[in-house]
Amino acid sequence: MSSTPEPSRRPAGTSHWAVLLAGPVVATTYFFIVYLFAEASCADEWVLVGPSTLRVVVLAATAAAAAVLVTYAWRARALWRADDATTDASADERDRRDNRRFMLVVGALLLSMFLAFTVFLAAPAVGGSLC
Amino acid sequence: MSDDRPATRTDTPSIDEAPATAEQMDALWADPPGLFGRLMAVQNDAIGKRLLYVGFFFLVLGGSVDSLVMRLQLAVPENDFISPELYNELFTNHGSVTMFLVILPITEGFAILLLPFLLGSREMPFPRLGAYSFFTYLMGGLFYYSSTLFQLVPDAGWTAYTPLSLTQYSPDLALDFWVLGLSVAEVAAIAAGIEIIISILKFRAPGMTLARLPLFAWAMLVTAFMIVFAFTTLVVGSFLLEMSRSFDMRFFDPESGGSSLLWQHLFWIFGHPEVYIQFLPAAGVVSMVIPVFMRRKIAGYPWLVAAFVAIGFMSFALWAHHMFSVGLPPIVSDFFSAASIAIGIPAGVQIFAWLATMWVGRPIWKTPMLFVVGFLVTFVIGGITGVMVASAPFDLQAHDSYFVVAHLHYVLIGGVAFPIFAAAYFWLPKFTGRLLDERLGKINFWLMFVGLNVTFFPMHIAGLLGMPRRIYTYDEESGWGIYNMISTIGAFVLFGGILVFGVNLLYSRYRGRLAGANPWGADTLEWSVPSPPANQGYSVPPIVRSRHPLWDQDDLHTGDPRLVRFLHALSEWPLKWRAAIVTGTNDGQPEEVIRVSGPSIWPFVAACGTVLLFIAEMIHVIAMIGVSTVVIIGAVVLWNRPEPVPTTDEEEEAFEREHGIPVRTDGGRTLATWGMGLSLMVAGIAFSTFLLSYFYLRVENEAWPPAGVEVPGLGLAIVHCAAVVVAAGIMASARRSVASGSFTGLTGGLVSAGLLTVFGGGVLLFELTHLDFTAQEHAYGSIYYCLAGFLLAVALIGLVVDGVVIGAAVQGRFTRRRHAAVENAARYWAALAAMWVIGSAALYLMPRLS
Repeated sequence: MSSTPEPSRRPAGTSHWAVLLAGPVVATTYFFIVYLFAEASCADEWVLVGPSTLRVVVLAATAAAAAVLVTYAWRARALWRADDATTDASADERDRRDNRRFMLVVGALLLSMFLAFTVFLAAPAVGGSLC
Repeated sequence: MSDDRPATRTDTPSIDEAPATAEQMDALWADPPGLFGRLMAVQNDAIGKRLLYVGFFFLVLGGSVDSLVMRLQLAVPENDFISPELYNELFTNHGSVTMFLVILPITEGFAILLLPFLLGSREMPFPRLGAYSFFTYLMGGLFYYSSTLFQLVPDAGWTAYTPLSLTQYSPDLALDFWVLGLSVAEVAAIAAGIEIIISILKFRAPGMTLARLPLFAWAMLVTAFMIVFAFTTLVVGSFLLEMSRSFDMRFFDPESGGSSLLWQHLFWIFGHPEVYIQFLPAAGVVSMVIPVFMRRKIAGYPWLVAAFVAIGFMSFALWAHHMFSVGLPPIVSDFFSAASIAIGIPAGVQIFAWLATMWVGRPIWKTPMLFVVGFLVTFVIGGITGVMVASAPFDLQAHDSYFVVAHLHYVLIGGVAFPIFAAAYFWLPKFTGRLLDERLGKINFWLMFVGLNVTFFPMHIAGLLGMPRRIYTYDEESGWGIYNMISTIGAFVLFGGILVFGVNLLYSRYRGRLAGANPWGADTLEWSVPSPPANQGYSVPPIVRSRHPLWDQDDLHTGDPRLVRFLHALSEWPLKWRAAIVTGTNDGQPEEVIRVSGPSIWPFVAACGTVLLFIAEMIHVIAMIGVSTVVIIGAVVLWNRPEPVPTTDEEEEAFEREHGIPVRTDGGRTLATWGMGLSLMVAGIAFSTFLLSYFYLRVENEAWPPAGVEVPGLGLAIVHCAAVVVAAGIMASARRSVASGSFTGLTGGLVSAGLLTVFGGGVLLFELTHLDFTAQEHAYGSIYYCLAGFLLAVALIGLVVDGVVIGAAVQGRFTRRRHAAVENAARYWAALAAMWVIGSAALYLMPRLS
């Protein structure tokens, strides 16, 4: 059996902030990319892209965004497990741990909501009309 | 955390106050008396109350009286009570005033009034910015309303769609009053938004971690970020509209490469988040009121926080659902339709969290709770019709019909106004010292609840029967008469409810029961101070060890002994300047003691200058534009100028040594960093909006630039880009030197960076004056000049900043410990260089690549 990890004495760090904000940032970026790509693809005489590639690009972008979101969810789980509770922690340390875990919980909730948002958004590209 | 334990505690933990120093502090934090003193006032109580009062004034004026006149006109078919022209002016005014001058200032007013008490802080971080925000809002609103005096009332709807709002169809100055008056109010909203963000993230009681932040603060944090993003976009959109009206630019003219849809995009990128900007504070209020009146801690606190954040982001992905009928590509409509439905997920999460709390609670049916229950019922109805209109096929049928009018009023009155009334009944006693009358409160609620449903439910049916919005009358054969008559009766009932509220305010001001510190047995910090509170709020700042400190803590001053000593020491020193604690963003631990700015006339002067600038633009008086610009710059410099410190360095250092917390009498590095960071964020959003407009117009045009126009050469572009980038490098080097304690060459570096920027800007200006196309011929020229002009404006502001920093350097004000201004100048130049290079790439390279 592995030894109990040392409780972290640091406040929530970059990783916790990244988990907290990953869902909204990734999904919003994804949204603007597919929206602008769709607008450009459907515009007349636009030289870079065309409708034929739009469906492929949207689905690929969706898969990439979903993969990033799932990766961050996995990261949240790993951070939670690495920050296991110890019984003899001081009140200050318990406060810090509660705060770190709160950020992970909210981050995980946001990741799941935005995963649903991303997949839902891509649905029209599967079989709907394009331009 | 002990969220699973029902809360039954209703007594209030003690607050340690040392009477002698508390009295001194009260005097120290007070605003000066008299009329001049009122113009100098910066206290959050004063600013918050003023925003509330003026917001309610505009509510009666534009939100109520206008709508009653419109309802009278529509009560019967073929009515001629008012003219069609007046009807157009009324619905324009009603929408504009309620969206810009009523709900947002009221919610920001509540935030500024409440946040310091709710968070356990003594003040907002930038009190003078709060004062500037109030005066610009007030003067912007009056500027807008002054159009009535000149009989130039705007009449193009609150959306001001082009081409209706262009000079072709609105040739007089009415629309200029709309654009410029409301733009002033938008500037006020952004200023307040910045203040609210920093307050929530950095001005909290020790121990108030992110996990213990009151839900109203979470809601306002998300809202404030949304305000900064959405209103900045609208300010740029309004700028383009005003340039089109005043200088005949072609952004929205399809015959010259423009697009009328560009305005709709810019407007709704602001307009749809605006609905949630109004709703989220309301959700925060509901999340605070329910636990108190259910005697149960909120269920699903992290779920609610996640829902607030999710709504904040998702709301920026919905704007084009207002544009389904304009002919968007099907896939684009589908994206926005899907996104609009998906936001129902976090919205639903909130509803279930509130219902779960109520399910296990023991309700106390006071007026705030009645309004919250009224909110839940009507908001769910408004939400369901919202999901209906999110579906493109249904929306194409219901678009611009009374169904939409019904939907938005259920959301905005039931979903936003009801919680505002709940907040008024809940929190105003804290600041007036007297409870509002319960019997009048219940009459107020029932009149508004019945009035709302009687007014707006029939509009769903009228809309489905085909009644379009914004018509001043209709035929008898249409069959809409009965629904309109019922709606008109309901509107008067609703207005009666608002009048009862006014009567209650006046009655309770003098006859209301004394509130005491915690009349509701509530759980959050604001209820620990007397009603009304002292000017400084907390003489001894509290220590927070729970999400519900007044329910879970026996007292608010127990904790780490070193921290307790520090907080008590802060009640005794300094007593000559306004000291506040800056805390860590996520752990809520003290980081600095800073000096908060006191009363000043300069925010008022700056606000006058801002309004003057917009008026000058409207009437095209160039000299007045120059004068007002000088007034603004001068006032802002003077309000930020360092003031003498009434304590010595030795005193400060002794305090630091004893307590281990830095004392920053120059305002503090943390605040300087956050203030500059958010200001640059505003600049970045404005820049992105110009870029977005540039790319949108590019996509709309087959040829870019249009035939016969040469893209400017790359030679001069390389020169001015290089100059600005090198200037940014010099600034970064100066920052590093100062941080390491070396001040040699600081002034020279600052001057060199300024001169290089003047050179770079001069080259760009030279090029602009020698181009072979104008801003009036084609949308390409219009956006070219505006984007380049924006870069020059950012550089000009930078030069003012540089001048102030050079002045301080010459006077030897910077030390290794205190050089926040140099750091900020370096940050500003880094952002300027980034925008300059990206903007230049768009202007010079993009036409060559596509």
